[in-house]
Amino acid sequence: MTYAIEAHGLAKRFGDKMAVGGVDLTVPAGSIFGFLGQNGAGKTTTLRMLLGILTPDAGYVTVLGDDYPLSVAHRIGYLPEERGLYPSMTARETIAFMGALRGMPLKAGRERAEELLSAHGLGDEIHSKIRTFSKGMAQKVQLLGSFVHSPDLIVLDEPFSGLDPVNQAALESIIIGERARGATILFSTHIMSHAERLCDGLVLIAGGRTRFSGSVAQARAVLPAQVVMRTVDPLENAIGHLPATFARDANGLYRFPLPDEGLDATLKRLVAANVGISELTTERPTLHDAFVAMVGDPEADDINLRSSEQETYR
Amino acid sequence: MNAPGFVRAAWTIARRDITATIFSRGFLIWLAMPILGLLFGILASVAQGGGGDSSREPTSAAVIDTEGAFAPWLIETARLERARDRYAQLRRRFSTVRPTEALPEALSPPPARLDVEQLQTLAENDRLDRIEREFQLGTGDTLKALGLEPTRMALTRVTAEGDLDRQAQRLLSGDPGRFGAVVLVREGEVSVVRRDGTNVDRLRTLAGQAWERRALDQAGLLQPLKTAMAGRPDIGVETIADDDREAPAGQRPDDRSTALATGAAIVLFTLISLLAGALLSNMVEEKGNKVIEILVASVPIPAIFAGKLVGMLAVSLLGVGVWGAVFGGGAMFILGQLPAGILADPARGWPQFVTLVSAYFVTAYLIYGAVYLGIGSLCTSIREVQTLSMPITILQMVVLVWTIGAIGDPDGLSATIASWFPLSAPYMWAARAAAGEQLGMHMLAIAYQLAFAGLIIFVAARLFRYGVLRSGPPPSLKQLGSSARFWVRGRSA
Repeated sequence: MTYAIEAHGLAKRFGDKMAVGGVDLTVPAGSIFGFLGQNGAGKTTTLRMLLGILTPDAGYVTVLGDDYPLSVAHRIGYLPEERGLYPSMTARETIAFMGALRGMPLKAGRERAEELLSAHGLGDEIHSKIRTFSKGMAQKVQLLGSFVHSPDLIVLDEPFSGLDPVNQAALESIIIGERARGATILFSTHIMSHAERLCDGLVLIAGGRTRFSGSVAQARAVLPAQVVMRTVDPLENAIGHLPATFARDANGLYRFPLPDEGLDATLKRLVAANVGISELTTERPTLHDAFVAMVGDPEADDINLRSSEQETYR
Repeated sequence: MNAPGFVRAAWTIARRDITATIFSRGFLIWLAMPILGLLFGILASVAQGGGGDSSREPTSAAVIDTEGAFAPWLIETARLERARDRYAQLRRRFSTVRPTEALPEALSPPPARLDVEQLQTLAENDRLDRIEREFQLGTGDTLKALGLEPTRMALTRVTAEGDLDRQAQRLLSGDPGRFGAVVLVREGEVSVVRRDGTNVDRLRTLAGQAWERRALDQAGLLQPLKTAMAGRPDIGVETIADDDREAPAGQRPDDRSTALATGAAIVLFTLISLLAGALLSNMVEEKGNKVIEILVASVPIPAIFAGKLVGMLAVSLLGVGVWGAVFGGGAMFILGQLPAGILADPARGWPQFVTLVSAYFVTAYLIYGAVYLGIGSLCTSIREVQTLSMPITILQMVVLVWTIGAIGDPDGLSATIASWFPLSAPYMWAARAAAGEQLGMHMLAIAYQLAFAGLIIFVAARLFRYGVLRSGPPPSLKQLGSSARFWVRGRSA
């Protein structure tokens, strides 16, 4: 398997504060990869180190096979967390300029900019200045500028931040379209639903360290499935036959983690006790649940349950 | 990144800055500011009646001659000397307008050698106007409009009436502007009566010349003297065009050379102060609109730095070009109108002087621009810019004052240090360009300054890298100093 990004032990300190204390990241080529973490977890600092904007204090990084990311900058597209555009430039010139920074001829950049703007609903705004745009429109222009030069790797820092649901959906389809073209997409977010829908693989960091690395399914598997049960009557004698970790919610549903040995033994005990069961389901935890569970204890040991290097995410 | 890639990246950034700056409304205002300043200055001067200078020469004078024999001589002498002055101006203007051409025959005799008959010829039959038209030397209209035309004093003969002193007082205190001075001739004596502060040196000289000519004529010596002086050689000054020539040690420039050198240093200082400030604002604006992260992620920081510097240098050169066309054209025109000798010509001629000063402008811009750009990268607001740039501005002014002080003694220790101290070197060498230093030394100085500019750019690029993605207050000097890796390896901290 080839990797678009390989980073090991990345660390960065700002004065007395350790911003990133050891992040490992391997992003398979051609995948959509999520980089998850709370606010302040060190996502942006890590992405900046991956792109060569910041130099790590420790660790190493290889991007598109090169140890010096800036030397392959023309093959990378980047949408920073802090959006920045020149207000007096037109949409077309902005995108062409961003392409030119990545080595694309200006003329070709302009032509491509017109194509992209037209294809993404901004065909009437090609010559409009950025200062006249809404935040969502400006963000879309910046996103289009990040892949105007058809890069092999696109790094998006919190791309969904500040977008309405319609634009979030549009952005998701753009990301999927770029993956279909063959690009690798790495994006950071703390909104789990996007990662759950889009990502082939993900890394979760907390406190500047990697907490999890693997697929979405593997992340969800970090937590056991939940058994949800409704009894015919809220019989007190049922309680003694449930796992000790059960909880009863306001709707009268009993919830408990699926036991390691399975549900058979528990069900047999309940039937033997004449507990009437009217409803029984198992629910797999969401990525959000897994995220909260993993990030909830920043001091916990790394949860690298499975080696992501052995996984194929597509 | 290879060299072509570096240049391409820098040019991409420079081009964006150039177009964004030039096509902004602010640029037009910036461009027009000095011109508007000049216009306001002229308007203010005109509003004050242009008479703010109490020591100016009178434009008119009355001649009261009780004997009757002196006034015609004085009036005639004044007429001939006016012709001589104007002839000198035309010669000077010709050299300015057509620096590569030899003087035509009509302008070939030096003004000092013109005899009375030649002056009479020039003064009559609009001959000087014809020369002016023939060689397209412009007209004095613009200077007249600006009130800068050299004084052409009109002399009017007034009949003596009663008490001459009282009459002179009446003539001076009459309607404003009636007469600026009165020449009184009585009992063989000539005196000039003036208002306090009026400069009558010229009038006194004219009176002296007229008296001398009349005395010679009365003694029958005017014609023999003219004959005897006909063969007087023209004792000119020949300048050796030898690049290795050096002024003798200890030779001090005259006041006119010093004025030109000082002017060059001040013009350079003013331009750099004006333009480096714009560079600083550009950087802060760049950080404010967050585009900087895209730039930093796309191209090497030195390329960003070089692009911004070159971009603003190009904008600055455009601005200087426009101002130069407006002010420089006006200045050349004015120089052409001035009597010869008011302002010294640069020792190596104006074209070479302007070229050298332009080169020193570029080196000064690169040195100070890099410093300001580095400061800009550490700031996040205009307030921080003001705080951090203040010491540099003060240092720049100290350097200018030091340079101006050293110009008067170009071989002194102070001037030597100022010539090689990097922050003062551009100013000092711009001043030396007026005095005529060896061309080889200028080349060495330019190379040295460019090398130092490169060093400053190197250090400032590291400052830029250190501070460009920082938020919050700028780092203290202690923080910068303690970040050893930042200096040694140029890494972001």
